[in-house]
Amino acid sequence: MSRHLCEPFIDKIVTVVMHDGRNVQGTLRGVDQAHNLILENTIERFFSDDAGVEEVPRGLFVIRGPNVAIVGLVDQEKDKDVDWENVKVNGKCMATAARLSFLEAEAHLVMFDWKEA
Amino acid sequence: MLPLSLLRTCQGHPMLVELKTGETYNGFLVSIDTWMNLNLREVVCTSKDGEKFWKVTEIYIRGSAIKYLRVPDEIIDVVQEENANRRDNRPNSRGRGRGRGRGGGRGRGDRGRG
Repeated sequence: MSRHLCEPFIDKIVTVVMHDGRNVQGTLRGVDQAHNLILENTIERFFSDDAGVEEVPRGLFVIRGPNVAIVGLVDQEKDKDVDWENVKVNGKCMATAARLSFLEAEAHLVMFDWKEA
Repeated sequence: MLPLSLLRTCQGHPMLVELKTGETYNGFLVSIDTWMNLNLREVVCTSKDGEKFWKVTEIYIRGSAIKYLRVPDEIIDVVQEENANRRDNRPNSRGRGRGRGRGGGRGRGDRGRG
């Protein structure tokens, strides 16, 4: 049986972009064939164009597979270097991420490091 | 760890369910099946804008309508404990399983001869 493509990410910190454009980050604890995800110590990041990024702790999270748009392994070094309090993102960019334009999303969410996976 | 086994462990615990429509349901999980359909008890429903609230005693939610669920942090420790217990018991249960399988095969043969 083929292995799940998210398996290399298990027990690592990932960022998940959901279909509605929401962005959560947490430790991936489990996945199944339907792409349902378990995230532990989750934080949700709210982006806006007039204020810095707001982080809200969300605890233990189960996301239904069909709502998952992107799962990205977080390079913690790069993530630490980002000054989230001063990151401003315009609405158009987040709308693009929500529309699953992978390249755009990857360009704006700079902490992804796909090569490592 | 499988998301559905985590949710099964949540039975009897409080959880928050957000639907694709944006409404959220806060309540105690009664039961859940393999499609993630679930029953909640003592529910507070919150409208998408977070301004209206409704109290409901019991509610059934179709799994496919769910966006995500938030569950208590300590549940993950319970699941890990359960998995460890199952690992300890495995040699025993595997032996029993093999025995039952062989018995079934013999039964079918008898019926054909009769």
